[in-house]
Amino acid sequence: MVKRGFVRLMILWVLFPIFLAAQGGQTVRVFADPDSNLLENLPIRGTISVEHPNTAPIDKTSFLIKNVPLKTEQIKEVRYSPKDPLTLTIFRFELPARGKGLYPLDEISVKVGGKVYKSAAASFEVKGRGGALKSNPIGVSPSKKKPMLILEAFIEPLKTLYPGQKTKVGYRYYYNQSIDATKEVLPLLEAEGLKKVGGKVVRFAQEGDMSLLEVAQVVQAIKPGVYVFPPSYFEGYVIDRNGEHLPPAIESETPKMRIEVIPLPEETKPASYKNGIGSYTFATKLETTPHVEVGEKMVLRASFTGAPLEDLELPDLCCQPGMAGRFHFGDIPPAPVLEGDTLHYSIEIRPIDPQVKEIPSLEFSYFDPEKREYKKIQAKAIPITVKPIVVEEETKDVAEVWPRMDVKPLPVTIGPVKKMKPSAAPIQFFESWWGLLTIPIAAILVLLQVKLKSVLEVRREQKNQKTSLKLLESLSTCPPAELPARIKECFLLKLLEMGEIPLLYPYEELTNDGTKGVVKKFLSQVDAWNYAQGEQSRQAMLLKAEVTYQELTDGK
Amino acid sequence: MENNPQEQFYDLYQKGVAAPSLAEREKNINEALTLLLDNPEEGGTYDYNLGNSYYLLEEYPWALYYYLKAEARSPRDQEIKMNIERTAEQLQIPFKSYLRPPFFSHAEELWIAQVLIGITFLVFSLFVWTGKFKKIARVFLGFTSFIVLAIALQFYLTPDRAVLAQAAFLIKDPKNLNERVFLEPLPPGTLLEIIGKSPDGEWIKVVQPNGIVGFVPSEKLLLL
Repeated sequence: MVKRGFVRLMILWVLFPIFLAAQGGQTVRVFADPDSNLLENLPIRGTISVEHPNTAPIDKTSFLIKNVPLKTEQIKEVRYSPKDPLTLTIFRFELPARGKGLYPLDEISVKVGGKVYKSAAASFEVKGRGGALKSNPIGVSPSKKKPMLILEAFIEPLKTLYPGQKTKVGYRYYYNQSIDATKEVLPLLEAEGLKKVGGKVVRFAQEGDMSLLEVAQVVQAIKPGVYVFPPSYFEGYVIDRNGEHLPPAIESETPKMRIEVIPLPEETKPASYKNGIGSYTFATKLETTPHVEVGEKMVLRASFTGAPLEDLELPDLCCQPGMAGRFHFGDIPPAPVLEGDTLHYSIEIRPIDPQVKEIPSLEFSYFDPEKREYKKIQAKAIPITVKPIVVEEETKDVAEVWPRMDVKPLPVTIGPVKKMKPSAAPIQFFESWWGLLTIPIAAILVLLQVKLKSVLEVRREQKNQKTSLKLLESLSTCPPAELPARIKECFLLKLLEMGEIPLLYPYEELTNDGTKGVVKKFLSQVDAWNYAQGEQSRQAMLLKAEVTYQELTDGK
Repeated sequence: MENNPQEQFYDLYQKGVAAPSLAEREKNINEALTLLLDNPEEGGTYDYNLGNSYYLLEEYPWALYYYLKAEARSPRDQEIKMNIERTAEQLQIPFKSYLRPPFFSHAEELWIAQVLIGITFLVFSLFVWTGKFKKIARVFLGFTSFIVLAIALQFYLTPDRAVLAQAAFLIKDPKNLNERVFLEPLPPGTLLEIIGKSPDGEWIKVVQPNGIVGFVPSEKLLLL
């Protein structure tokens, strides 16, 4: 009895460790680790480590994240030891790029030995790019390579454009180590003179040992001209594990780049041309019934195929022959609809002329940049029938149509109108600023009066002023008693007039020489006569006076 | 204006006043207004009649504009003041904002100046011929000079006024139409003083009776 129990125990002791070993060897663990230093706008990369028994193979196509297949690449397989039944297999995975921020990493599942195992959920942080180019060449140790960076500028596919055409400009960075940019001059991305379409597009790739970062921008030509972009420049440093810059600086430069925008030929531009540059086909189709009444809505579909279709505008159909005056177009312009490789416009039109028999052949023109000429396409005319509508006569009363006009007007609370009296021109003159001209006129008149007065006074003085001649003339009518005195006054005045004497004084004081002597002598004779008296003496004296006066006047 | 158009105007106006319906009143007054506008005259009576015509057509800002023009020519005319008051009531604007201080119209002031100039001239003439009245002549000269200068200064310093024909926002700066002085627009009929204009002439700088300054579009202003 004892012997049997001991044997059973020994069997258990032998089998149990084997059992345990078997259990331990079948444990599978999955670990997902995003890379550190993830940068914005770059793919999210990381590693998936699967610890599994050697006997349990991994289904490499079974990786899923959120039930979406995840592409992976095995990079390593490691056995802990030759006798160890477990193996560690390492894969690399890549997720789409994200912006700066903190994100959860969902569970990643994989089939190992026919069973599904999952990693634990994790999180990762995406940092701002800050000019750092993170190199992660697969399978190559960074420290063993000479650091290198090549900056390449590109303009693709067109370098010669017409206004409205688009092309892509940008840069490609080829590098083999993580490099932190310290200086970048990238004039192509500014695209001065051209219109930027959308934002920058970043692409990351691996080409052998070299990592590739491409930054591209779509631009559209606006104005004709030659746009020269100066040389581009990059300068940076390799960063070590601590983030420190390792000299020397890594530099790269590109030559200047040039885009030419050629103007479209104006002389041959068709009237129906809008903005198409490329190669197209054009067709029209009536989407509603062709049998309508005047004013009834019809929908005409205009379809374009070719390239490029984006931004292709509908030509002005309203002005084309056969449309103007016959069809009315909707107020809201039709919006473009892109279906596959065809661009459609649905246009609302209403026939306004009952004589219209068709929607005429509409024209679409575009510019072929390869042949450098305009091309016209005529769509087929579409027959329609338009019934006239009977217009009922307007029989409504004006008062009914405009009920307000029949209303009694408000009572008049303002004063009555006044009779207008015409205003005479002279009155209007004085009521204006011109009337103040009377000021200078009055002033001039006053001055004239002053002048007049002085003139009159002078004349009066002149008139009243005695002269020797007047006195002489008055001698013949002078009373005898006054005659001697008057003769004396006359001759003394004469001397004064002649300037012989400065003022009048008695003749006795005259000198005896010259003219004064003559006068003195004569006046002495007058005194003598005065005593003699008699008419004969008087006449002789008068005659003598005349003669003497004349002699004085003649200067004798 | 010849008699015919004037008589026609009165007839049409009276028909409009007595019209039994609004339609007929508008028809007659519009014809009367057309006659007036086709035969312009200078004078307060012409402006007054225009104001009455616009009033009956319920174009109150225009009526106010012409009443104010008539008042400038006849500042003591109580009928004009009464009509301004009625129009202000219709526009719901305080009447006192339209009160005008001067007692004499500009034409009357110039007439007074002319009379003083004439008297001064006569007195000076007497002085020239008689040598008397020298002091009186100087007094008249001084007084007349003062009056003429006062009239000229008043004319030069009195700001231009305008009536707002349509509601308009008062803008702080024509370069930014969103910067309004008030949230609400100024009502039509608002009397404004003009103190400047924008370089392109499209905006007029105005000041309200309460002293607030801003810009309004020139096309909405009726200049007095």
